Amino acid sequence: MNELLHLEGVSKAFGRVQALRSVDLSVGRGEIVGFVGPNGAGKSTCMRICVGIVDRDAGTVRALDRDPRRDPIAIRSHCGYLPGETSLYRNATGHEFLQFAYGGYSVRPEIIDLAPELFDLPLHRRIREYSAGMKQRLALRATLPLDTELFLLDEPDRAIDASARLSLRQVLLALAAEGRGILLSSHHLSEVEAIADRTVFLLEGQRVPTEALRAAREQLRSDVRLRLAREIDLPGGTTLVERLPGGTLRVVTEGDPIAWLSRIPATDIVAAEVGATRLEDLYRVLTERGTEVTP
Amino acid sequence: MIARKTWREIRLMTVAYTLLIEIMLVPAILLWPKLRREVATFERLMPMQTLKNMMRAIADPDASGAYSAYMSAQMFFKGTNVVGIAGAVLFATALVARERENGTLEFLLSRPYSRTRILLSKFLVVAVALVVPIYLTSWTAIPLSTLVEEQLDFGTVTLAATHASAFVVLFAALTLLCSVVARSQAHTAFAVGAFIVIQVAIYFIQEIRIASLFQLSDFDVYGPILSGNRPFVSVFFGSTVWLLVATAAIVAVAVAQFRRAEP
Repeated sequence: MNELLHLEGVSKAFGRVQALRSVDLSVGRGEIVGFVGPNGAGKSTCMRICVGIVDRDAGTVRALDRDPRRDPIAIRSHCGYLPGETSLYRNATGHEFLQFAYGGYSVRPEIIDLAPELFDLPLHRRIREYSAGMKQRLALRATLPLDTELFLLDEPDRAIDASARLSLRQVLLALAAEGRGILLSSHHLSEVEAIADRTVFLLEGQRVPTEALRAAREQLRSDVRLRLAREIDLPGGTTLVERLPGGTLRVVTEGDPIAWLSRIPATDIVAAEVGATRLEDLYRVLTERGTEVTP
Repeated sequence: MIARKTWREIRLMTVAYTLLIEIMLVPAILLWPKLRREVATFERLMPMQTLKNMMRAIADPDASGAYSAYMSAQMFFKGTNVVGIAGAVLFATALVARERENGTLEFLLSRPYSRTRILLSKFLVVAVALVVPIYLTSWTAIPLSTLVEEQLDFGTVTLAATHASAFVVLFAALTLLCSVVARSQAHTAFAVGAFIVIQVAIYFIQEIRIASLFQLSDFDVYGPILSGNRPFVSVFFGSTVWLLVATAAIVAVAVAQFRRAEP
């Protein structure tokens, strides 16, 4: 079984709101699949369907070769799931919480040794005394050491600092190297792309086709963010898209952005960023091209 | 794991609940000789026929019959019907509604246990936490009664405690169902609270009293049990078992609802 997770044509509606529209997705053994999309895109619903917490309306789902509708407990027994917007039991100590979280699983302490700075927490203290970052690290400690074949991680990097994020990246790469499959949802596109073998982009409950994503990125390649030392007339061949906070201008060039930039005197440029793919820009371009991204 | 977690959450409340029942019971027993002399006055003061009847039974010239009637009122009609039901509502309100309200329901549902097991484990712990104190405090009444030169029979006390426990657990089941369906603890408590108030109001209206659940756990039920006038078979198979059947049915509906619940 090389495919640990397979979704085909999965749809789900909550009342009148269509949360998922015919989503296809797969995660193979040893693969990290990035799962990216804005809030409300349907990422969390998709993960909940995979572990049988929410039932789908249509489509097929096979997680660890089982259908979550028929065999949710077997799937959850072999799948480490980190919910996205969950809270922890405030009155429990970290130790009590882990005891509960590890119930029904076999746990690998060596994973904790792999990134002590990520997992080191005052477990004797009550969770209500933890900071938001500590709570998230506790949730990660409750999930990542589980001896499971598949991990579904809904925004695991939420609220944690840069160094913890780096440690998390190391742990995920180590798990993938052992042949475990990981579906990784995040708002940090650069973080996801740094470790993911593939990235799946979800927008308004639909998976954005690879071609549309490629076209959006192509469009963003001519995007320039520019901070100038003084007000000057910009050279021709550009469109000013917006003025960002801090005096940064965002422009789209018609031709080569580097060539355009070289026409501005270097002394007038404080900072310039060319073709950076920011998630928010990608959302914007994809939304503007809405009709094109619809399969 | 679920049971242990639930117990951890309610253990302090269980101790407080046990102490409260006992604290109400001890002075009631110790004050019996004094109260007995005043029963006739109390009877005149009672506002409703139901309560007058209760006081009349306590004023029974047969000493053992009077004490049984008094203890049925103190231990069960007052003790378990008030503190027991309050405990049932307090413990069971949180079972699902608090998880939903605090955002921990998704984490709970993502554990490798079936929803039936999750809910039954939680309910079982609450039921045990409600029932064990009822038995323990009821049994303490036996040695305490000797201090006022009265006697209670272990068998009849146990039978009355069993019936009282079944009645309290029925309310825990009703609260569980509301907790599964409601969005918050406040909604659950309000729904169950309103139901109890209506039931109590109906109980005190003689003409429609038969429609009240409290008729199944009142002085007329416990008095004959404690005085030994109702045998085990008549009590258990006559009414207790129906309380248990009703509880099982309500829990089954709660489980069915919980299986469909989304976080």
